[in-house]
Amino acid sequence: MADAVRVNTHGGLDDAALDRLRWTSVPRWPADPALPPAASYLACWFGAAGEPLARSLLAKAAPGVPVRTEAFAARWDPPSADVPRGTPRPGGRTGSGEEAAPPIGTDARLRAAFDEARAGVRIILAGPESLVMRAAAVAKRCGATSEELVLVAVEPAGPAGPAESTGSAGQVRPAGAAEAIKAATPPEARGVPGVTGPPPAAGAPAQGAALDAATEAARRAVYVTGSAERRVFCAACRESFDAFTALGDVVTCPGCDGRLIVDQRFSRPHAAYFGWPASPGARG
Amino acid sequence: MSAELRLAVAEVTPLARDVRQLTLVPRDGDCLPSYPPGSHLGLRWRADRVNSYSLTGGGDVPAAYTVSVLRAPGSRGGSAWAHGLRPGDPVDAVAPRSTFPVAAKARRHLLVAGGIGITPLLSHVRWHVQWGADFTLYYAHRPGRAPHLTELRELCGGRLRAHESRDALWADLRPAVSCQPLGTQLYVCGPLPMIDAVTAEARRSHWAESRVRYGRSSRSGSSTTRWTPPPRGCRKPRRSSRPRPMTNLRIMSICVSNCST
Repeated sequence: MADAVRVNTHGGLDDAALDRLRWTSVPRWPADPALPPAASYLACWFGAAGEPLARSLLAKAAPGVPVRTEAFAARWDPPSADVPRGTPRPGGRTGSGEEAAPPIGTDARLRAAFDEARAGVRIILAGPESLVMRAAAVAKRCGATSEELVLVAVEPAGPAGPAESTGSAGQVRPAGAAEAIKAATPPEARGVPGVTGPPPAAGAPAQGAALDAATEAARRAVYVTGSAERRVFCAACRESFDAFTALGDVVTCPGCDGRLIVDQRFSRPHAAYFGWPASPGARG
Repeated sequence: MSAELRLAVAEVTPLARDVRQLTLVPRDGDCLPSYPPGSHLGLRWRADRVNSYSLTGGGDVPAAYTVSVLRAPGSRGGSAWAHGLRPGDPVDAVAPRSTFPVAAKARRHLLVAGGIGITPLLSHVRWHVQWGADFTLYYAHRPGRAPHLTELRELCGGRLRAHESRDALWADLRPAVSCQPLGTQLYVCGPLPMIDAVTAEARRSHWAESRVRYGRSSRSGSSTTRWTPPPRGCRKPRRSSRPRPMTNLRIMSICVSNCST
């Protein structure tokens, strides 16, 4: 059990761990996200790093399709917090650009945007994984289906070998602070040096083109397994909290002071990793 | 595996020209199985033939099953048999199956019915009214031949938009398809051309495929547009065998083929 979760505590993943990762619920980020056709687009990005990703996707949109953009800070504002006035809000063609941001939290701002969206929209969410998944959970609660969401995580700067890249705990994760693992792709193919993966097509003879494509997409996908801002759901007190941690690491729950292992199980509705007690039975 | 039910006709009510409502109660005084909205009941009208009819009542611990049957002169005889039933006649049935369910998580429901295709959506409407869901029902019917219209007016109030022609329905519905809020689920039941037109319009408006549920017939073969079948609304027809298995396509084909609009 512990082996299954201790995959990237020290930077590298062995082949078996990568194979296992593909069968977990850890968010998988496609190498080349596609933009489906839509009647309109709503693009929300978190932090400056998210904007170019969203913009490059929007560049693929058919001409004439209405686009609305919403810029968010690279953090999740609580309901009562003021949205910083300095936040760049480059409104799109229908964007709410110039007016001062109302003092509402991220959740309420997202809900307001989703409530105005019409069926036929495709919602682009770009930014750090934890914020994108959280926004996706809000979108689902607002009635969006997976088909209507295009999720793009900020791709961290290339993983620079086995050493943990920096990114001090407690800070908002800048782009590149987290490790990303290019799962199973030969490094040369992606031009990323120093990443190891399992041998290509190891024991996976694909049956048919569709399966081939799906398998290939899975093999080229990116997983954020290293240190990053994550939301962790405490199995003991059933609350989620934010922590800067890697998968398989141990964190302390601020609610119950319990020590939790950050598991490879990711809940979409909670937008949180499952944290289970590191020493079961020794709580309290 | 659906259980066989031993039912008897309790009441026969004419609803419109060629449409009769059958009220069926258990012969042995047993309880009837509950069913979710959009379910259909299989009536065994010959030893080897089962016709499926949408249940129009509320499915929560029902005291009786009600189905509405349109007499289809060109059909194989099931509807004629149903129209010959009188109170007290025994009817063997296959327990309800749900193949056209309500999308419980949708924020809003857009229901489109044509003619006798109203029957599954009537039970949807009851459900939405019961749970206070946001919905609008578009209902196209021939003048003077609108089964359940009075009941629908009471249930829906202003949420019912009834039209007496295809063109009137289309003029009203078409703009609405493109301006529904995110999270709206579309349901269509009626004649095949209507289903084709509505699903094509939804596709033009880039609705998510999982947000469109419809019934369609594969038997008629007149479909010109193709939509990937939604996860639960439509399955592939099986090879014909006896007794014919009741796929959801069959219930929908009844909605379609019997529909007079």
